[in-house]
Amino acid sequence: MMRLKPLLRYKSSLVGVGILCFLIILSVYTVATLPFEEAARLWRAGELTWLDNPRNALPAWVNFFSPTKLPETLILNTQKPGPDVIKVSVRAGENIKISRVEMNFRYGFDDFPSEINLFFTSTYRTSPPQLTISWTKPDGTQIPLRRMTIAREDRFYISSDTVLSTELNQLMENRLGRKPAYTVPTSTILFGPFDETLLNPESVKVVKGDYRLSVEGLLFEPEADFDVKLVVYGKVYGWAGTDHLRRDIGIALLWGTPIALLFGVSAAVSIALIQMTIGAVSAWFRGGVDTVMQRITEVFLVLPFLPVLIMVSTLYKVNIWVILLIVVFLSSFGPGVKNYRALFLQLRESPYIEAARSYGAGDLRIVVIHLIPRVLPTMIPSVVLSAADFVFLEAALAILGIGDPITPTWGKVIQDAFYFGALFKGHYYWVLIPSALLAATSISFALIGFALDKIFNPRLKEV
Amino acid sequence: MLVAGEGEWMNTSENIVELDDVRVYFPVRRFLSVAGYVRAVDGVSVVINRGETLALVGESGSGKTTLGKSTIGLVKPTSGKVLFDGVNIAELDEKQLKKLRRKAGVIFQDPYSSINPGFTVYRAVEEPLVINRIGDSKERRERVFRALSDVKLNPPEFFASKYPHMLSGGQRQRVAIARAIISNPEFIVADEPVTMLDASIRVEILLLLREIQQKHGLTILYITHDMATAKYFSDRLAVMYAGNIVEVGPTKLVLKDPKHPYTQALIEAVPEPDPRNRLGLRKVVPGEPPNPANPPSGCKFHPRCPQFIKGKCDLQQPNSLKLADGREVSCFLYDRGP
Repeated sequence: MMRLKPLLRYKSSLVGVGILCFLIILSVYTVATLPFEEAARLWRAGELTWLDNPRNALPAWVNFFSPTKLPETLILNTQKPGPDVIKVSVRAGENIKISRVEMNFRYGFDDFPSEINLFFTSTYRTSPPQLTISWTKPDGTQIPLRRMTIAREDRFYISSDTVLSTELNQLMENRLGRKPAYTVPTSTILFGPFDETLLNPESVKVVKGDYRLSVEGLLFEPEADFDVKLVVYGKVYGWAGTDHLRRDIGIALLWGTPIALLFGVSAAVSIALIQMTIGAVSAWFRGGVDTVMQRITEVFLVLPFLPVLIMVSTLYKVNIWVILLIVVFLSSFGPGVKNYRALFLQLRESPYIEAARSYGAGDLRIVVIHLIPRVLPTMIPSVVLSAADFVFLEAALAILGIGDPITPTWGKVIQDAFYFGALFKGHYYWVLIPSALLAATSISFALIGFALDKIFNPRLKEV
Repeated sequence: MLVAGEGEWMNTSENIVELDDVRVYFPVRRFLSVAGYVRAVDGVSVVINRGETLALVGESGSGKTTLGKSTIGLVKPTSGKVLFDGVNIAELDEKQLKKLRRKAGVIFQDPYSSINPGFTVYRAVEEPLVINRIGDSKERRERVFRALSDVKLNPPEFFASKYPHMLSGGQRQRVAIARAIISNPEFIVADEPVTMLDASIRVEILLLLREIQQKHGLTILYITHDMATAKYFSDRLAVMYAGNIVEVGPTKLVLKDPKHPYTQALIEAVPEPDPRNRLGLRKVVPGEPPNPANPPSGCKFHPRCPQFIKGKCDLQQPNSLKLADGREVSCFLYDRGP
């Protein structure tokens, strides 16, 4: 393994090693910080777990490259009081209590939030609390939103409430004296100015400043109480954005890294070793063994790889490691057997093999000690190169729907993106980031493989 | 003959190797059927005495190497008996052969490819001991170093860690010799051990072989096509032509007074190191060596023989005749039988 040091001599392989190191560190970090069960659970949890995330948000770093700052998600919660969240309760009689919640926040982004939701939790015995909710804009304009009686777990989807939308559009129409040509979204009315610009969706700008959401609650029991959570959903989230289910794509991409590396490397290494062993045994023993193995190989060569995989994954519920096994099984009698056999047929005639036989070396010893190590140097570069192929294969299978339904992988992210029309809807990040990771992985393997080829097969250097 | 458990041979016959009408045929396959046989060795009977050096000379393709391999069971004879130390090795299975081969060593022609290039000298020389489970690692170490200094690779510690590609041809051949003698064999097949070497170190290697032979009491089958080294190195000489041994006898006698027409032609063909003779035309045997798949009838040398007797040589195969001076010749010229 001393011979691996020259890897750092080639600039191209240095880049490859760098990328691979980064991916390995990322994998170690992922495995260490986010247990697989947790990741798989989060990935399959459904929308309720992810209710605080914006839907189809861009990655947060797009703000670095854009002059207009897209909004991030703001969450205010009375269970986590602070200077921005004030809750005051006053007794107004024997059984009646008045609680007032004020949530102040500064909104300084250049775009409207994607959604605004309110979530309530309340405790009471028989009479639920009655809330009056109102919105205050930076200029002091107060807009009553709703008066409602809340259940123990309740929500108010401010931005998608049709009643509220109609009310607000009416209110705006009265103020401006004109009816806009489109239904102005609630979030535009709440965060925009009340002037002519509202009439055109292109021209309307966010009013930056301090907003306030007030909730006045009428509680009819001394023990009753309620909590409010306001979520002003942004348009950016995390380092990889979110998908149509508000899931953090980053989780899948993080866990995709160790899985992709493990899948690619273990498939490449085990297939190469199996093929080499078959080739060596076939070439060494010749005769009947050779004939049987070569005929099996020829059968496997014409076996259609993809249809078999599709069939297996249709009939059985497979996880990614079963897919790996099937891939290894289908490739173990692959074209490599022929190549290795040819190499070994040449090697077996070497005088040192005959010398070994002359001093009594057995078949096993000759194959394992004398034949296989001679081929390893030529094998290593191609194994590294083929690791990239298997990373791609896993992604390709996932895109075709032959994937592990549980494990989050890069391929599955791309499949989701593909299935839910990411590119059609302009969610390019959803496809680009996993694709870039895939490309980076295969580039790193390729660069290292080419350099290894130069190291182990020095004749290539002269070309 | 085998002592159970110990794996040592009790029997020690006077002749370490005895070949009795050994034939080695290789099938020529042509699409699922055997089209014919290449008769590499075609009825050879010869005896190698303990402690002697027998030189086996002959031109390329005459079956020297195949015969050499058959003496230690690397090639199974098609028919005939190969007695190694009194045991017919054609009847042994692989396991018994393995034990037998401990008593034999092989030195190959090409020192560049007869040592695994991935092995260090130490590993290459040690391997026969490892395979035959001789000694523990400490004992093996001592033996490897002793063998390396026996072949004049000094200091052995220095050479032990080298890889073959770091050594010269002569040094590699010394390593190959060390490997051949490491398990204390009684018999060594040296298959053209100096052919691939520089002329300047051939003598050194042959001297070394002789020294080792005397030190360990070895028997050597020296296969060569070079009459000069055969003359220098061997006690007895066997001349092979197209799978047959045509003449065997003490080296000096055979070289001085060759009986068989082929031996005569062979000795005649040795270049003389005297510049005055450079213009003299030498007698050269006409024709080419026969195709071993389809040899001529009768004596195989008859199409090329200057003393060809029509009606005899092309019909009958000559028997081996014992001459008075301890020689054996297969030629009708000396057949003064009934």
